[in-house]
Amino acid sequence: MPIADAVARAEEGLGEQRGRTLLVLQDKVDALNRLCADRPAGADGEVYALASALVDMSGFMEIPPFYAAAYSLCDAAHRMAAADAWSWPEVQVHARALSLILANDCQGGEAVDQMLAGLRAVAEQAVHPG
Amino acid sequence: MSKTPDKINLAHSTVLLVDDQPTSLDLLSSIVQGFGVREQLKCPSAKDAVELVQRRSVDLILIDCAMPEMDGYDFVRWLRREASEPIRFTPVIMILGHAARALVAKGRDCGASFIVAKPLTPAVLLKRIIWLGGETRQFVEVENYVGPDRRVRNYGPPPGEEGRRQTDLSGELGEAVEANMDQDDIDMLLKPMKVAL
Repeated sequence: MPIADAVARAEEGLGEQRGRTLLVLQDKVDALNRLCADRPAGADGEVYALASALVDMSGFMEIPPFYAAAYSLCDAAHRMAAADAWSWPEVQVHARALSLILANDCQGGEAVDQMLAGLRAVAEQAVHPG
Repeated sequence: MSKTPDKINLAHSTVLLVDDQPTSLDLLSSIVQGFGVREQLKCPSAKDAVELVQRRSVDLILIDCAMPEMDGYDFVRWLRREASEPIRFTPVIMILGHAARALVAKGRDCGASFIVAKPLTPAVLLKRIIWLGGETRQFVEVENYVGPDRRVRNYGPPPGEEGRRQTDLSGELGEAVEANMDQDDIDMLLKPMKVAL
């Protein structure tokens, strides 16, 4: 099989699963929002697992804004837990951004770029306050 | 010098996919199916994968790094050190979601053949599979490491591939790019000569 055909077939297969995957991502983001509302103690592992799952799934799809936001949350959760400096507001701002990006069908744009830059700043601030 | 092939035939290959996220497993499966792989085996955990590879051989393993209980790193470490031959030599591509630098190094040091970071495209994954088909690295077994030779940089990019660095040279001998030195020149380089100090 020509390489180009193999790649095209694989991309087509991924495209067929886009809708179903977005629904699963929405379920995970909803779970993240519930955690942010309840703010249970010792949930850092659960947040990281959710963020990691979002990165895992969105990493197969052509949805760069969602992937970037999920990755930022993963990074922030990882670093906050390692530094013993957990902060729910930082998680919440990521959860809101993920919800907004999904509501916008994961489209990019200047506003989304600014939001992602804000998330990166928040993630950095979470570990290096001041 | 050999070039990257423009065709691939995976119709007779068996690929093991390991990921604890069912959706990710399905997405990976659709990619591999698109590549024309005849037989896919799917495992939702590394522990299941351990059990499976002890029963039957596979040609390639694609495994997610982050999994509960036994993660992808532990699996590859087990495969390289404790599995029987020839299973322990099975090529493994690790798929990394949260690709912190330390995690990439961890993947390299546990014995993975390649590490592919997300976002993952079918083109990149297929290229790594093709690279594995032309694999020339030695399998190293020393006290603190078992797996493919990690000194990839010494060998340069795979034959037919352009390197990312200007100084990258392929490990395969290609056509000469400059004239051979003649013997007089070589002798002049090596001959002891009096010098004025």
